[in-house]
Amino acid sequence: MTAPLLSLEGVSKTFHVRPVLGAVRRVDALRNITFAIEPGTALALVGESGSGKSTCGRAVIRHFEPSAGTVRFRGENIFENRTRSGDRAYLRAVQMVFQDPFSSLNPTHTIRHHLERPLRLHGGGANIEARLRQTLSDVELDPDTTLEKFPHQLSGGQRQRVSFARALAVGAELIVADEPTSMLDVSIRKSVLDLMRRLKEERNIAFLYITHDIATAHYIAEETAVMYAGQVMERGPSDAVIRNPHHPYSRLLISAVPDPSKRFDANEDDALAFTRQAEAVRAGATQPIAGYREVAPGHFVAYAESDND
Amino acid sequence: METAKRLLSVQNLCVDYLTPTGIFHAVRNVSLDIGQNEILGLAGESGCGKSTIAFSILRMHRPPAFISDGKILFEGEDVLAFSRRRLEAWRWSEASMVFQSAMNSLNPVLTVFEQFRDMLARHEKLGRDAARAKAGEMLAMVGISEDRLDSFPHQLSGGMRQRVVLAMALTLRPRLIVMDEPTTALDVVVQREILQEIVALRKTLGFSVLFITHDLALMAQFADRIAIMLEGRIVEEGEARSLVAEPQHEYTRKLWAAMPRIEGAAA
Ligand SMILES: Nc1ncnc2c1ncn2[C@@H]1O[C@H](COP(=O)(O)OP(=O)(O)OP(=O)(O)O)[C@@H](O)[C@H]1O
Ligand SMILES: Nc1ncnc2c1ncn2[C@@H]1O[C@H](COP(=O)(O)OP(=O)(O)OP(=O)(O)O)[C@@H](O)[C@H]1O
Ligand SMILES: [Mg+2]
Ligand SMILES: [Mg+2]
Repeated sequence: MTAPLLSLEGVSKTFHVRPVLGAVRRVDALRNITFAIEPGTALALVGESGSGKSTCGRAVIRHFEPSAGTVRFRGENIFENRTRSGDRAYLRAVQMVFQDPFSSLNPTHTIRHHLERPLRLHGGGANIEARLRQTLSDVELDPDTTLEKFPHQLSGGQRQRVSFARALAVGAELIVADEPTSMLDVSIRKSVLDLMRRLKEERNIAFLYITHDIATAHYIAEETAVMYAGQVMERGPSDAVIRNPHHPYSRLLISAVPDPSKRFDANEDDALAFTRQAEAVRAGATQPIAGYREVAPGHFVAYAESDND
Repeated sequence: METAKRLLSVQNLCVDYLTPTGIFHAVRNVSLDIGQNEILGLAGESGCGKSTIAFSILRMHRPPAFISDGKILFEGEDVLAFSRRRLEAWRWSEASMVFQSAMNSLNPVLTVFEQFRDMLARHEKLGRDAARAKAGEMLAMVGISEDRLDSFPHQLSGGMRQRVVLAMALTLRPRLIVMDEPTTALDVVVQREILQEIVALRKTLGFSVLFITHDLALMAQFADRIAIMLEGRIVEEGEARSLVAEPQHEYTRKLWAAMPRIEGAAA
C-alpha cells in the first residue's frame, strides 16, 4: 500500500500561556490526533469552537512543531531531514486558504501582483500573461476585469477565489481551507464549494476542510472527523458520521444544525433541555479517549476508559 | 407598529461611496423600524449594503462612505444630530455593535481583561476588581472560562474571539445591539446556546437586536421580523414566520431555495 498524501499520527500540541501575573496555564489544544487524507479527496474537520481544528491546520502548514506525534506528507515526516529545497517544495505543495477574506490579501497590491510572483516561482517567467489569465479563469474570475483590481474592490467571494487562485498558481497538492465560506452568501458559497469539488476531481488536489457548516462538509468531503476539546470523537465516511452519528457529542452537534422550523423562543423548556443536555455531553466528552470502536468499515467512534461497554 | 414602541427608526436612508470612478449608491432609500425588545433579521446577497447600514446606524461609517439623505431616530432622537460627546456616551452604553470581522476587531496587544477594562473604565468608572468580576461574569455567559481573562487575542480560537466581542457588546446593557454576522466562527451547539441566552436575556433586561446574517435557517429561528435586501434596497419585510412560510418577492424565494441542506436528509 502506498502512503497517503497526508497523515497525522498521534499528534498532540500543548500551549503554555504565561500571564504577567499568576501561574502558567497549560492548554492541551491537540491530544493524540490521527487521520489521513488521500490525493483528490477531502477530509472535513468539524466540532466545538476551540477544539483544535485551526491548530491542526497550522501544524500541517508547519506554523509550529507538534509536542508529540508525527505529521507525514507522502510518507515523509515533515519536521525531519529538512533541506532548503525540500522546504520550498513543501511550501508550494501545501497551501492554506484562510477564513477571513478581508485580511488574507495585501491591500496595497493588485490581484495581478498577488498571482504573478507565485506563478514565476513555480513555473518561471515563460508565458506569464497567459498563465495568469488561465489561473483566474480556473477559479471563474474574469481576467479582463479582475487583474488590475485591488482586494478592496472585490466582494468577499471574489477575494476568497483569489486565495484559491494563488494556491493553484504555486501548484498546490493539498489545500488547508479554514472556514473558507463562512462569510459568503449562499450563492457564492455554492460557487466556492463547486470550485473545490472541481479541483479535487480535475486536478487531484486534496483538502483539509475546516468548517462549522455541516451541510457543506457533507457536500464536499469524503470523510468527516468530529473534534471536541482537542480530541477526535468520531470519524468516518461523511454520510455515515453526519446521518448516523454514534458519539454523544457528534449527536449533539448534528442535532443543533439550524432548523428554520424550530424557533428559539417557542418553548423555554426546550431551550433549557438543550442547554442541560449540552452540559452533560460536554462533561462526558472531556475525558481522555481510551480507544476507538469501528462501528462500520472506516467509521470510528471514541470511547473513554470509564465507558463500560 | 405604534410610534411609542419603536426603539429605532431608519427613514429613507441613503449611503454613498465616493469612488475614483464616481459615486456608488450602496444604500438606496432604506426605511426600517426596530421595536422595543424586537429582533430584526437582515439578509441579502454579499455586497447588497447590510454592513453599510449597520455602520451608519451607529455613525461609525468612515469616508469614502457618506450619508447623503435620510434620518436615524433612536427613541425619537436624531442620531445624525448628536454631538460628539453625546455620540461617544451613547455608543456601547445605549447602542453597541458586533462587527462582521469581530474576530479581528480586538486589540492584539491587550489581554481580554484589558479590553473589557478600557470599555468599563470609560463608561462606568468601575475599579479594577469590580471590572474583573464583571468581565469574568460576561465571559462565563458566552461559555469561556474566567481564566482566559489574561489571554491575548492570538491565544484564543476564532470562535472564542468572536464570543469575547459578543460579551463586550452585551456588558453595558445597551438598548440596541447591532450584530453583523456575530456567530460565523461558532460551532452550532455554542451558537444555539448563545442565541438562546440572548433570547432569554432580552426578556429579563429588554433590548433590541439588528441581526445580520447569511444563515437563513438560523435567522428564521432567531428573528421576530425579517427584512430582505437586494442591491441597496429592502425588497420584502415581514413577520419571520410568514416570510419563511410564504415569501412574496421572487428574490426571497430564490434565497430560500438556495439554503444549504444536508443532502438526502429527512426534511
Ligand atoms: N498561540 C496560542 N497560545 C495559547 N493557546 C492557543 C494558541 N493558539 C491556540 N490556542 C488554544 O488552543 C485551543 C484550540 O484553538 P484552535 O484555534 O485550534 O480552535 P478551533 O477548533 O479552530 O476553534 P474555532 O472553531 O473557534 O476557530 C484553544 O483553546 C486556543 O485558545
Ligand atoms: N470603501 C468602499 N469603497 C467603495 N465601495 C465600497 C466600499 N465599501 C463597500 N463598498 C461597496 O458597497 C456595497 C455594500 O457593501 P457592504 O459591505 O455594506 O455589503 P454587505 O451587504 O455587508 O455584504 P457582505 O454580505 O459581503 O458583508 C458593496 O457593493 C461594496 O462593494
Ligand atoms: Mg479556528
Ligand atoms: Mg457585510
